[in-house]
This record gives sequence, C-alpha cells and structure tokens, in this order.
Amino acid sequence: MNDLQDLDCKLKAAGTSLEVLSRTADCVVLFGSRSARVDRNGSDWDLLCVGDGKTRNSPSLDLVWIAPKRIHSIDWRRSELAGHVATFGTVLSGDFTWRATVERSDDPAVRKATRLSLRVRILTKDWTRLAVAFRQKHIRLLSNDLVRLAFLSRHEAVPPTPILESRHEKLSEIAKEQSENGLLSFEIRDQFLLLKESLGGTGCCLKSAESIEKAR
Amino acid sequence: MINPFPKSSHAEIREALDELDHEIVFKEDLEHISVVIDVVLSAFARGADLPLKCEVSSKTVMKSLLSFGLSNDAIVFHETLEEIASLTLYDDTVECEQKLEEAESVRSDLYTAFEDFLDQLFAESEAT
Repeated sequence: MNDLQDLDCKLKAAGTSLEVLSRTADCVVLFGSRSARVDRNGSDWDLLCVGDGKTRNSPSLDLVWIAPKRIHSIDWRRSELAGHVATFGTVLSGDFTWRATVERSDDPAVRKATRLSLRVRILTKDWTRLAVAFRQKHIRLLSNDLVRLAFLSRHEAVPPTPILESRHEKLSEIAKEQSENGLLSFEIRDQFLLLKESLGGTGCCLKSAESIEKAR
Repeated sequence: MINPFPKSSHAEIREALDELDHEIVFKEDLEHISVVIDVVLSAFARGADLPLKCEVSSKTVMKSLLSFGLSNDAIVFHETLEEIASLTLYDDTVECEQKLEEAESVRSDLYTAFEDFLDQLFAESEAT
C-alpha cells in the first residue's frame, strides 16, 4: 500500500476521503512528519484544509480546517502553524499560493515563551504529586516546546516533532540561549532544568525532588 | 465490584479533585487544568497501583478507571483536553477557543463524574 492509500484509509475511517476533501476544500496540504519525510512507524497524518469543515483529531489523523477568510488574516499569517505548513507542507490539491503570504514575527515566540513559563511554574508546584509516567510526559512536552521556542525566536518555521526530539541533547544550551535573549526568565530556566534533571538516576532524582520541594 | 483503592488514597484523590473544582479559572488556566487532571489520575493510579506507561499514561489510567466504573463524561472531557493539547501544539488560538468552549461546557460533568465515582467507591468500601 503506498502512502496516499494509507492516508485515504485513515480518512475513510474518519468518514471522509481524499477525493471528498479535494472537492470540498479550496486547498488540501499535508504537513508534519509525513510531509517532511521524517515520519516513524506509527506517525500520524496531518492535513490542513482551507474551507468550512470540522477539525478533528485522532491518534492516526489530525485534520485541521481553516476558514477561507482566516487564511489571509494577520493572526493566521503570523501563526506557528502557518509558518510550519508554509515551510514543510506538501500540497495535495487546490491553491497553495497563500504560503507566500506567511510572515515571520516575534508574536509566536512570545506566546510560546509565556505558555512554557506558566507550565514550568505549575509543574514545579505539582511535581511531587505526579506519577513518574506523567512527569516523563510533561518533560517531553516541555522539551519539545523549548526547542520550538528556539526556532520561533530565530523567526524560523518549527520543524516536525522527530526533528525537535533530535535536539533534546542540547536542551541546556537552548534554555540558556532563551534566558539570555530575554524570552525566558533565569528562574524559569533553572526550574525547567531542575525538573528535567529529576528524571535522571535515582540519586539525582532524590536530590532534585528535595530542591523542588525547597523551591516551592 | 471490588474497590481497588485503599482508604489511604481517599484524601489524596479528594485534595486533587478539590483543586480541580475550586482553584482553576478554566479558560485562563488551560495549562494548569491539564496538569491537575494528571495529578488526579496520578492519585487514582497510585491508590489502585495501576501500571503506567509513558506516552499513553493518561489513556492507560482512564481506561482502567472506566473498567472500575468511572463515567463516560470524564472520558469525553479528557479526550477534549487531548484535542486541545494537540491544537495548542501549533498555537492555533482560534481553534483552541472553539474547543475551550466545548471543554468548559463539560468541565462540571468531569468533576461530578470523578466525585460520584469516588463517593461510590469509598461508600462501598466503608459499608463493608
């Protein structure tokens, strides 16, 4: 089965098809890891459709609809998703000329830094009440967002998750860079590194758990 | 049905639920609520000694709780949260706003579902 047949199977399971989408949407764009050819076994399919439809997400398919009038709005043109789709997207049908209207600005980086800082504060407060599997999940999410922030702060498009994950070994440097450029406070940087460190070996975990308790 | 939760876990779960009910201003606190849901699930998981796996941890606990009799309202809410999480991944504010409206409308159902579940489990446990 080729790739697009697999996508069509997933769409049919969701009650639609590539043929229906091509007919009803002004533009259908494949994005994410499948489009960038960095997909792994079990990677989901990400599709962006311009038109009037209902966005839906499942483990194997993310189908995102954007209203035609919104595609030319400043909010959309400066959004993280628009930047990603314009850079890594592959058009499957319709008019993709709007990709040239996407702009780079500081807005997505500022929003990302604000959300990331808030999550670090909340996680620091609740860290000891989370089961280890949840701690791992949140560190993974925070780590990916920190790498996203690094791309956004340089006005670059955010690449798909497998590429973000390949940068996790440089998280300390990235956190330092983002605190030096003023997007993250030094306090948030240190709290993030402390949370991350607490997932290391047992000794390190106990030591960090004590530090996190004191930080609270 | 055998209550899988020891009495000692009651207070911890109750505390997490109270935070969910009282301390969250929902729309302004999306980051907070997703963590608190995991705190609630952690308390349940610890209480029932549920095995958790990374990546699918929330689903593992939710599925187990469903088998213990947790209402479907909680599952629907949790799925909505997961959808929001995948939208916020790309910072799509308009789509998030729409999803938040949906999630807000079922938030009280989530709290009620968890609370009923908890009351039922511990009432049964105290009766025996």
